[in-house]
Amino acid sequence: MNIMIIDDHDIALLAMQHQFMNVGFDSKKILIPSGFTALEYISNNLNNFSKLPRIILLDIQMPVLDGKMFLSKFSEIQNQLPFKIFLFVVTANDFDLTMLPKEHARLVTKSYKKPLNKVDILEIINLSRQ
Amino acid sequence: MILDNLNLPLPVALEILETFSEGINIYDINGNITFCNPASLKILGVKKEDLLGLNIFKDFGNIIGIDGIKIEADQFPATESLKTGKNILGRVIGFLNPNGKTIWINVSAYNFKSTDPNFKVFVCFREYTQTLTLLKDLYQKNFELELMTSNYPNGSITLLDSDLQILFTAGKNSLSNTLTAHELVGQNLSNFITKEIFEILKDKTSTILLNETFQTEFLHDGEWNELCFQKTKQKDSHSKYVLVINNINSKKILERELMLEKLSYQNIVENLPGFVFKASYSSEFTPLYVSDSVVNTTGFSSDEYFDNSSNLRNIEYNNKLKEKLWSTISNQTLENDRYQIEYQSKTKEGETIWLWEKGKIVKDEVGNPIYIEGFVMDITTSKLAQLELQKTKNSLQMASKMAKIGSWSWFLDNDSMEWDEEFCNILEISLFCSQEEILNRLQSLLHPVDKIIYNEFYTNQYLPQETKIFHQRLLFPDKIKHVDSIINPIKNQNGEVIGLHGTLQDVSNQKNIITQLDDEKIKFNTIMDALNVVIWEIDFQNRKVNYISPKVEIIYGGKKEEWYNIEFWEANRLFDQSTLEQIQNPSKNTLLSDFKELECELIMKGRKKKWIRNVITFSTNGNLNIHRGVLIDITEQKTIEFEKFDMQRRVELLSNNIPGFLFQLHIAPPKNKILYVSEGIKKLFKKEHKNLMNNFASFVSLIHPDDLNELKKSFFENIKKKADWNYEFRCLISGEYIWIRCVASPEIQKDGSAMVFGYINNIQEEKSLANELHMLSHVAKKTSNAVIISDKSRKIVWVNDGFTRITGYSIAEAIGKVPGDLLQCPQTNPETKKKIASSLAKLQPIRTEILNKHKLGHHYWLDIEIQPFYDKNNNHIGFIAVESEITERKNQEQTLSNLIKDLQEKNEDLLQFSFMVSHNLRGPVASILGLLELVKNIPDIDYKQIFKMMYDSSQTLDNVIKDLNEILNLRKSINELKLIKFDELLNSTFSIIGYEINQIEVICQFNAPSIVSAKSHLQSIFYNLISNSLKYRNKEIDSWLKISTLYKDEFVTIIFEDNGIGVDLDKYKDKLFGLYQRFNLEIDGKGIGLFLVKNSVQLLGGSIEVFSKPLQGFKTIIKLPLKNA
Repeated sequence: MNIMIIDDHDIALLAMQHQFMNVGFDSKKILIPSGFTALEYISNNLNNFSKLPRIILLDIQMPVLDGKMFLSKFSEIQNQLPFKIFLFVVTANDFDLTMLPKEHARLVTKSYKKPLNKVDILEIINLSRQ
Repeated sequence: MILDNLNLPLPVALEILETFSEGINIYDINGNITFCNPASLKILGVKKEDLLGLNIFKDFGNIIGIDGIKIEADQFPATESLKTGKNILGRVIGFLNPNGKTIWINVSAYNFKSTDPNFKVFVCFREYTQTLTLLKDLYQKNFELELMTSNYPNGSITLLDSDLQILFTAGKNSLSNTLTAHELVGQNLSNFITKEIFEILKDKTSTILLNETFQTEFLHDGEWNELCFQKTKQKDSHSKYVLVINNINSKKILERELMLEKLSYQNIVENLPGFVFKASYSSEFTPLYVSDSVVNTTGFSSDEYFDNSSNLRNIEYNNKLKEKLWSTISNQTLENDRYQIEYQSKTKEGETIWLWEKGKIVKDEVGNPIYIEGFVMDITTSKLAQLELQKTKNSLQMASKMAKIGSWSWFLDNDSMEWDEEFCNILEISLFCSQEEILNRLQSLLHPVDKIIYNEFYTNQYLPQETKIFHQRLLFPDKIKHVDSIINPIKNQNGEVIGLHGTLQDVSNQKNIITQLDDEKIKFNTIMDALNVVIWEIDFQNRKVNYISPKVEIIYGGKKEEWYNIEFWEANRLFDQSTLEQIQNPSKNTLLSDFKELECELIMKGRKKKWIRNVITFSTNGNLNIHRGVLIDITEQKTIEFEKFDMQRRVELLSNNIPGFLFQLHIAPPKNKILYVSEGIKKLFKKEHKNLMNNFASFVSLIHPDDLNELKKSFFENIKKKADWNYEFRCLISGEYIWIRCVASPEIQKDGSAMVFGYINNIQEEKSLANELHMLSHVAKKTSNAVIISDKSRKIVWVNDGFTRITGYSIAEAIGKVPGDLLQCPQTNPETKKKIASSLAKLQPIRTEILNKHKLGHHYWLDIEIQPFYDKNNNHIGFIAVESEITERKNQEQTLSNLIKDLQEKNEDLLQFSFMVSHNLRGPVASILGLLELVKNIPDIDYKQIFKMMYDSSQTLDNVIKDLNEILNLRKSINELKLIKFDELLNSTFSIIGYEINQIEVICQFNAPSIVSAKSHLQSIFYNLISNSLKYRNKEIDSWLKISTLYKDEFVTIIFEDNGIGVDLDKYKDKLFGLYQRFNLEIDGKGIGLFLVKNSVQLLGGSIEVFSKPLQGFKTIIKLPLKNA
């Protein structure tokens, strides 16, 4: 179960990577610093199951292609995905969540506030197992 | 020859000859056989030793030719060759072989040119018995075939085998056009004839008997062919069937033509209007042939003629006639054997018919009559007509004699003239005079004028083609005879005139009557002319105007032709529908002597209106559709009538419609009398009028007692003075005293009494209105508000003093102007103007607030209420506007709303700011917390790295706080306004940016050189926009930045335009001015520049617009309000 973490802050990437390792979730982690790169990665690997993530943790505030735009683009390629990808929004401000358009909000399984704690991590893993 | 050509040594040649399939014998010079090959021995049926050495002259006997006749030894091919030295080729000879059988061989003898005497002649031969038999057979057949084909000059004969394969074909070949007879052999018949026929033939092969011939006709290439098919008679023959095809097209055509001819002939005979016959040449006239059409003529069918062996003419009932006819025929036929007779006969039904018969005697060579042939036709109709004509002619002659009509005829060919007794009577000349005498008589009698006409005809030999009628006068010594002369051309069958026929009738008596009538007519017309009466006659059935007096043009105008058009009459309503109906259905109730009058108005172009009375008299002349009438000009009469009527009507209308009533009084105290009151009294005195009508006293009793004495005094004084009287007083009407006004003028009569004409009306309303108006105007004058009264077109009619006080315009300046035009100014809200205009257009009252301009130039606010007002009949007559000044209140309101707006903005900013703060602070804080979480949970973490990260996050936090500080500072500095020159501002910006500015060419055009504004804000705007252009320049090309300023309206516009990499505004427009928003990761940036610019512009009360596309530069337009120092 690959996990993709999209955040423009190195610290957030590092922290979340470690937190997943810490609960014993040792599958591959794809760390991506921008929404744009993440999209590119997914589009390029649509037929490559082993490289596609099962879980995506998405930051909202990012330069150029932010979380909202990522969701919009993601919804366009969603049909081409071979399996369901669980999207979790991880943001520093609750306020960002209110800005998500409804049709994109339903792509998101659940939203969390930064920083994630151990309970959040376990919940993410649990939700993605269904 | 073989051997010559081979040029072989003899032994070798002989060896080769041994192998030949032909028989080869070689003779020496004496005719002895010196060589023979095996084939020779086989054919001849002898042994070699028997043959060799035999001499051709001695040892060969009984040789026969092909005709079976013996051939002498010296005529054999070999001997002949020996003797003559020539080659003899292909002779057939026969001989008996040792078995006693005749052997036929085909021999060729070749004379060697060799010198060897042993080899002189070389004979080569082939067995030919079989071939000859075949040939014979063939010869025999060919002979037969030739015979056969000669019978079919247009056809072919073909032999076929059992499979219908062609074995032989000859003759003009109808099987194929392209293949020769030879080429056809061996082919199957099916290739050359149609499938259908082939199938039939195929069928026939099994069914056809030996001596039977199957015969059919068929079309091939559009031509008719005949086909005969039979079995071959020779049993052993190879050929099984014989097929003969013969082209019979010409025969067919001939047949068809004959048929058609026959048909058409039959048709002709059948359709003749009579019948054709052939009968014996005798008085009995026994019929030999009668065409079928006889039934149409006589009713007998042609068969019946033979059954009864009756006389053709069915005239046995009259022997005398029969004989008479016979003698006629005999006589007529003496000359040229032809005759033509007419006779009466009877039909089968017994009807009498007239027949016309034309016939001819047919004679044999010697000249004896054999029979009669001829044609009979029914001429009953024409015969009867002829008889009728004869009768008519007779009776006409009688009639003309009775009518004293003389007749004459003249024929062109011999210039002969005939005339009758009456003709002579008219001319008063003897019946027995000559033609010349007649003509001379005519010449002498004719009236000189008529003579001219007569001579014209006579001398020019004019032959009229149609009937001509002349009226001529004959001058006798004692009298004048009027004669009508009618001349008819006599024509032959071709329509050429061959003579003239004429009649002459003495019409003197009639003429006299007509002359008298004419006189009467003239008299009548003269009278009519004098009366201005127009007479007309119209044929209503044909819708034709027969006559109209010419003077109609003069009296009524129009053209005479117009009056001859019945539609014109209808259009001008000279007839009405009922009249036309009456004319069309005269039987209903019309008496012939009836007449009808119609009056109508006639308007002719360029004429005064005319009134016409059309008097239609219904016809009495027998023709119910032709009617006459007169048109009478009644314009004058009508005009007077109308004037009178109009007068009456006007007075009536007036008196009925005026409020109040007219009256006439007779004042002769003490007897005063009401002579007349108009209808209006009923309206004024609703209940009381009945008593008042003729009762002066009761009217006086209604007058208010307070007014009565004064009234009486004034009234009688005025009568004395003969002056007009105008008095207002109260009168009791319906239990209430009402003000009424009486206007009267007296007229003193001879007896001293006075006739008073007058008018009384109710003025109660007037009175009360006047009171009201008086009070209202007082109010309007005294009110502090402005009051405007305008008319329907919104032009001011009246304003009060308040108006002048508020607006500055005097009443004189205001009257006649539209309030809007006078008072409103450019700053007046157009919406409000529109609202007022639309309400007024709909006549709705409106209340609104409006900004106007005082005469002295300052603005003021008005609360304005406009009401449309109406007269008592509810007609809109104008508007009343009441305006009160509310400038002070309005100003207060304005201040308040500004304050509120300011507060709202501040509040908004604050909200924005707090959001921004929390948002931007939360990021780094979350990072630090995340790191601490890691430290807490992961024991073996790389602390050094974590601390570095924590440091970075703290640094970020610090930067954010610094930025916020800067933003706050910007807000504060808004109050320090001063004059800023753009070039100075630019220079200070450059020094902040440093040397890097040289990487971009900055082009400035400060059309507006300076602005009064907050320097720190402007500096921020310049710094951020210029450093953006620098940062986001396109490094592939020479970069430039254009900065220009200009004054426009009450703003300064500052434009920054570069050719940098730009931004996709479609994507980022919403975020462009957000804090920490970045659109290009390749170039380092904080995402705060445009945020600050936008903030500054807003704080300075300006607006900002950006235009950009990726790689097409970035353009910023900033508008800042121009504030004069």
